[in-house]
Amino acid sequence: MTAEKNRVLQVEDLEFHYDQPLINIAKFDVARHECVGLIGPSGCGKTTFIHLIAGLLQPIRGHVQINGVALSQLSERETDRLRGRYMGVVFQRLHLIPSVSVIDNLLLAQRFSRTKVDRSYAVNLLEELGIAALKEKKPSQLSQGQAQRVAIARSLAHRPALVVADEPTSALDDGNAADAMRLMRTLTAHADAGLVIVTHDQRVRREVDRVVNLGDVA
Amino acid sequence: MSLLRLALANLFASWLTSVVNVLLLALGTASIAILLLANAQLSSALSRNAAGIDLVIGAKGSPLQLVLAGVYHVDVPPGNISSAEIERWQGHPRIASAIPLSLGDSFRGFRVIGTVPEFASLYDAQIADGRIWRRPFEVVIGSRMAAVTGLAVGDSFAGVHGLSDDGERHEESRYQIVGVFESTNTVLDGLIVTSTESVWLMHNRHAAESAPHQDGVASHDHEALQHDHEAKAHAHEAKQQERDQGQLHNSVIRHGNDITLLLIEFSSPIAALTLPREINAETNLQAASPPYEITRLLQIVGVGLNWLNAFAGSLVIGAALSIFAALYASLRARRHDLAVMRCLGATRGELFNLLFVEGLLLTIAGIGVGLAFAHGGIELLSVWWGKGQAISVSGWIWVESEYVLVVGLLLAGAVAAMLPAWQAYSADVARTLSAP
Repeated sequence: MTAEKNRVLQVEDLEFHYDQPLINIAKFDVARHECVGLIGPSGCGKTTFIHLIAGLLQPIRGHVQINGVALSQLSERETDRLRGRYMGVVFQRLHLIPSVSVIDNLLLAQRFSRTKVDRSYAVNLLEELGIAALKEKKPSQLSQGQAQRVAIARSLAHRPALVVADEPTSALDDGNAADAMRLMRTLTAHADAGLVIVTHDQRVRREVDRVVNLGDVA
Repeated sequence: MSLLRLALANLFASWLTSVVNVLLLALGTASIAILLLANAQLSSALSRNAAGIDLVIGAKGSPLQLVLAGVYHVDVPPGNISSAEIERWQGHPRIASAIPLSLGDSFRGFRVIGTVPEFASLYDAQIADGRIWRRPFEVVIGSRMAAVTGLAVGDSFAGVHGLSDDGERHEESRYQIVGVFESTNTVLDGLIVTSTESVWLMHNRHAAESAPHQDGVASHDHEALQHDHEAKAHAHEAKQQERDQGQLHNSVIRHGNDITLLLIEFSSPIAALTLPREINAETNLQAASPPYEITRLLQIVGVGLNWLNAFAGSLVIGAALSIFAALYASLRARRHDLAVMRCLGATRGELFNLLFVEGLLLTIAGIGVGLAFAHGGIELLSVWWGKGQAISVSGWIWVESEYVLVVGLLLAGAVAAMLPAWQAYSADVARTLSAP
C-alpha cells in the first residue's frame, strides 16, 4: 500500500502508434524521490511517450496514472489541470516564455497549476540554482546554461509530484550536463517528487537510479 | 501572474507591431469620431441658433444666403428691404413677432446688429454686466466678443463699414459699450447688438459724408452729424447731445430707412404652410425657412460627409485586418510558447482568452488613442480657430453616436481577435512541440 502511494507515475499496457506501432509498454512505474532514465535511440518514441504520460496524446490502449489519478477517466480540461498541478516538464529546447522575466516564468507555472502563487518559493528555487540575480532578466538575456537552470526551476516551481525532462542535457557539454543532472536530482528529491529523464544521452546513465530502455519495456 | 499581465507582456515584447496597430486603429477611430463630433455639434449649433425663428424675410436672392446671413451671421445678406416692412409684417395675423435686423458694420470681425431688445430673447440671453442699450450708439456685446477683444462696459470702439476689418472705420461715431450678454453658446456670443437706429444713423452719416451736397435725408443727417460731433467734443454738454440724438432718431424714422431682414415667429403652425408662399409669390420680398434651408445645406454637405464616413470606415476595417494579421503572425511565432503553456497546465480556454485579450487590448488602446486624438484635436482646433467664429466646436463634448462607434469598434476588434484565438484554442500541442 505504501509502495502504491509512493508511485507518482504508473503506466500499464500502453500502446500508441501513428502508421506503425511506436509505443508498446507493458509496465512502467516511477516512485517519489526516484530518478529514472528512459533511454532509446532517436525516433524510438521517447517524446511521444512524454506526450502520452502528460495526457497530450490519447493512447490506443492502456492506462496512465499520475499521482494515483487515471488520465483516461478525465476530460481534456481536467487532464490539463492535473498535468499543471502534478507534473513539471523540462523541454529539450527549454521553451521559456520569452515575453516575461525569469521569475515570471516560474510564477506562470504556479498560476497555471492553480496552486498558490508563492514568489518566495520561486526565488528560493532560483537561489538554489545560483541564478537569483537573473530573476528580472528576460530569457533572451540568458546563456544556454542559465536558461537550462531556469527551465529546471520552472518545472519545480509549483511543487509537482513528477518531473519529466526531455533530453535536458543534449545541448550541454559534459560539465554542464552533469551539473544539470545533479541539480534536477537534488531539487526533485527536495520537492518530494519523482524524476523521469528521457534521453538518448549515454552520460545520463551514471546519474540516475535506474535506466529503462524504451525498447525493453514492451 | 494574471492572463491580463501576460497579454500585456506579450504586446510589449513586440511593441513596434503593437504601436503600429494601435495607431492604425486610432487613425480610423479618430477620423470617424471627428466626423461624428463635428456633425453633432454643427447640427446642434444650427438648431440652437435657429430656435424661435420660423422664417426670415429679406430681399430677393438666395434663400440659403438669407438664412446664413440673418440667422447664423456667416454670409452677406442679399440686399435690404424697406423699414416699412416692419410694421406691415408685425401686424400680420399669422405672425407672433417680427424682429428687424440691420447689418452692415463690424468690429474685428464681430458683426454689429441693429435690432430691437426682443432680439436677445430669441437666445434667452441675460445681461451679465451693465444694461441694455437705450440710446443710439450704445451697444451690448456678446460674451465671446468680450473675451476675445477684452472690451468691457464703459469702453468704446469705432465700427468698420462692411464685414472685413479693412473697411472704412467710423471714427466719428464710436460705439459705447453699455452691457455684456451672458454666454448663450449661440451666435449671439459673437455679436455686437445695438438699436436699429444706430445702424441707420451710422449709415446716413456715412452717406452724408460721401455726398455732402445732397438734399433730403443726407443733408439733414449731415447737420445731425455736425451737431453730434460737437456734442461729443464737449462732454459737459451730455444732455444736449442726448436731445440731439433724439432728434436724429425722429428724423431717420421720419424719412425712412432700409433694414436688412426680418426674423419671423409664427403665431400658429398653419402659417408655415401659407406664409412663405404668400410672401414669395405676392411681394418683392423673399421668405426663407431656416430649418428647410439648413436641411438642404446639410444634404449637400452630407454627400461629402458620406464619402468621408466611408473612407474612415475603410480605415477601421483596415485596422481590424491589421490587428488580425498581427495576432495571427504572433500566434505562428509563439505557437511553441502557447503549447508550453498547455504543458504547464493552461487550458484551451485560457489560451483562447490570452489571444482574445491581446486583440481586445490593442483594440481598446486604438479606440482610446483615437478618441483622444479626435477630442483633443477638435479642442485644439477650437482654441486655435474657434474664437470669434459664429459656430464654435468643443472637444469636451461626448456625443451619443460615439457609444455606437466604440461598441462597433470593440466588436470589430473582437472579431479580428477571434480567429487567432480560436487557432490557439484548437492547436495540437503534441504536434506543435514535436515540430521543428
